[in-house]
Amino acid sequence: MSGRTHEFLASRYPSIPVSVGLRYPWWRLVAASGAVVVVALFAVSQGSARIPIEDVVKILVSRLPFVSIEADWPSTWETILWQLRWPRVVLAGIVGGALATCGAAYQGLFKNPLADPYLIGVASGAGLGATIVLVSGVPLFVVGISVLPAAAFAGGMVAVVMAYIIARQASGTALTTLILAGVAIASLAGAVISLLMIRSDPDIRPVLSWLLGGFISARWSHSAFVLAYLLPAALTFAAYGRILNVLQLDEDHAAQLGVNVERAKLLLVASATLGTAAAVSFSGLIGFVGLVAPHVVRLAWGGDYRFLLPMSALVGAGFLILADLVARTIVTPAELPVGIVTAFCGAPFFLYLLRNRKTIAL
Amino acid sequence: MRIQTWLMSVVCVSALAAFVACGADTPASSVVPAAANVAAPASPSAAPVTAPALQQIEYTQALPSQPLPAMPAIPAAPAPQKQITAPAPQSTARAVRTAAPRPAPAAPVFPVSVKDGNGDDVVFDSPPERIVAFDSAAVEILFAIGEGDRVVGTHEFVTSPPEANEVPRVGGAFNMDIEATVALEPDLVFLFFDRFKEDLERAGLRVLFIATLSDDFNKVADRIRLWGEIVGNPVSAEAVASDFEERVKTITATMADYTAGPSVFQDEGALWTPGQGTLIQQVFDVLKLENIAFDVVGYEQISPELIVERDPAVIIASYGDSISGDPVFKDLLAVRNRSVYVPTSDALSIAGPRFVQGIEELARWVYPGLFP
Repeated sequence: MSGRTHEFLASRYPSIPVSVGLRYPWWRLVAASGAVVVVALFAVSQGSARIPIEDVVKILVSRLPFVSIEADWPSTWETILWQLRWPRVVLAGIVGGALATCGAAYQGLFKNPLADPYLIGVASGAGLGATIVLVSGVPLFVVGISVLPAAAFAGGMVAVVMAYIIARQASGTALTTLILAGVAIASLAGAVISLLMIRSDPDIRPVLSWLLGGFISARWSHSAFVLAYLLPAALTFAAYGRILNVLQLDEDHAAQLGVNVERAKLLLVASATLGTAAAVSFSGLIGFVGLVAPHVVRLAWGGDYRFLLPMSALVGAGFLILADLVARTIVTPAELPVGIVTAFCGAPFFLYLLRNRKTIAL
Repeated sequence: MRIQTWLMSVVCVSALAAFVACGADTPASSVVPAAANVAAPASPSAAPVTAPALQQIEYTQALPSQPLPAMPAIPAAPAPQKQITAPAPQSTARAVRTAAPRPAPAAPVFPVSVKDGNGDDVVFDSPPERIVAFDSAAVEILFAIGEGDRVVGTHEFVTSPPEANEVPRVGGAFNMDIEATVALEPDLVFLFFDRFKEDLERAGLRVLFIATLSDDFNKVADRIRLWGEIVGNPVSAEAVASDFEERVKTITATMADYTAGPSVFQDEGALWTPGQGTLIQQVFDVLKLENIAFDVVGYEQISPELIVERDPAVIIASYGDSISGDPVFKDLLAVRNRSVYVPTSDALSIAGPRFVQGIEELARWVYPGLFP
């Protein structure tokens, strides 16, 4: 689609979100990226191990190319910063960005402001996969590879594929049916999770921790894994931002404007599912990020999906990095599941936004 | 103050308040009338030789006569134990059982009155023959004192002793099939939590609820004696209980000359770890192991940063070693020295007669020179 299409849409359908207009506000994305970097650096400087801020800076700077600083700090600090905090902050950022973007995509695709990345069953499927591994006594590591994320990823994908197959008809995929099928499958999976938990060993804490989400075991390799799956999803979103705008019309109108609606639906559902499943596979089910971040962006800057998708990613990343910072420092020496923190911060903030803006236009 | 410390204080204080409010008069007053009813020996000092007509077995769950500080002190020496050995002059039954040296237990005498976890008396006129023991520790105790054939039902996570595997199951630890329990026609249902107590009583069953021991493993011996009284086999119970006590005493005596042992981290899975106020901490105290989770209260998921920073010399991986293979932990003292212990049994997770065996196994592993 071209700029002309947008002009046409804006004149013909004033309800279409083209508030960004023809000039794409790159500078907002650049500023937001900078803010995320600042948040990440702050998060790295804080933690339950007390490392003085100047040593944090020195340890970080010493890793830059062409810089050599004599190491006068304990090597454990370096392990803590490079093997624990950085991977954790980075994974939190990636997962937050993924959940927020996928949430925004689902909201646009289903034209439903309540849609979140877990709408059509990814979460419950992934939760079921993880729970099966956790309660079955399968060794958590097979030849050095962690089984848990693989099981979660597979569970999430299976649930959504099932919902999609059920919703697909000769005439095309009915999105309402897809949501309903997803909800039904999610309930079923949820029931099986509860069953497994109640029938399993009395110690259900590992399952609960996973279901509430967290980054306690974040490692560099996890970020690499999630990114590998996010890349195709991100490319799809980059290409389909405009089409998501058009899909805000009803499907017939979108088809008249030359959009292959069926293909768009399949690609968007597949990408968002892939992204979400990858995101939750290591971190567990973190709620609210995928719902709140897109709405924050929408309320602040309007609903143009070309801008909404990347901006949601940045807002989600920053939010989840901060939430994880709270989760790992507020009850030190212990950890809180980050899902509790996101719900505690996200829900009231969301209500505040609703109260002040009354309506959310998709 | 950390929020969780604050919460724990609130919980502890309110629990104490509740005990004081509803059970303040029970320890002292209920003993005397019960004994008086059946013509107790004229003076407590004359009691030791003849068993009193009514065995008053007092069960108080971590209820000190003086209000405790909300949090146990850091090194938490097993002080509550002292309370038991101090003879209370007006309590006949207690005086009987705590007089040193302990007299050989006489033949069982009924009725036996037991104070349950809510502070109520449960009176047994005769030993229960068909017991649904919904508690791993109780099952182990009954089998250990040779009364396992009384156990007609239990829950799904009871695995020890092997004979117990043939006992029918009536639920999984935290849920209970009331109908199946009733169908077993038990004359006693023992619970370690009271959620199903009312339902069972409404179904006409006699229920004894006593919470799982979580404050002091030395009380396991009292639990064993308690069961001996209930099933009318105090002799076997005394043998098992004093064996337990002797073995604990041996370990404590061996460790008495040592002040500081290696630092330890126990992983209960996903870095959940026991801290202050747990039976495991008490084991660590006995074995002079310094818990790196000294600032954890109860069980918490500890920050991995702190594990790296505090660098434990010994790691106990209760449910399998997921630490040695993790690059983050490769420089830990325990990992470099391959001092990661995966217990061969679940003895330390059940406050029953095998608990001391768990301590011994751990002691042998940590101090092979001291415990051959």
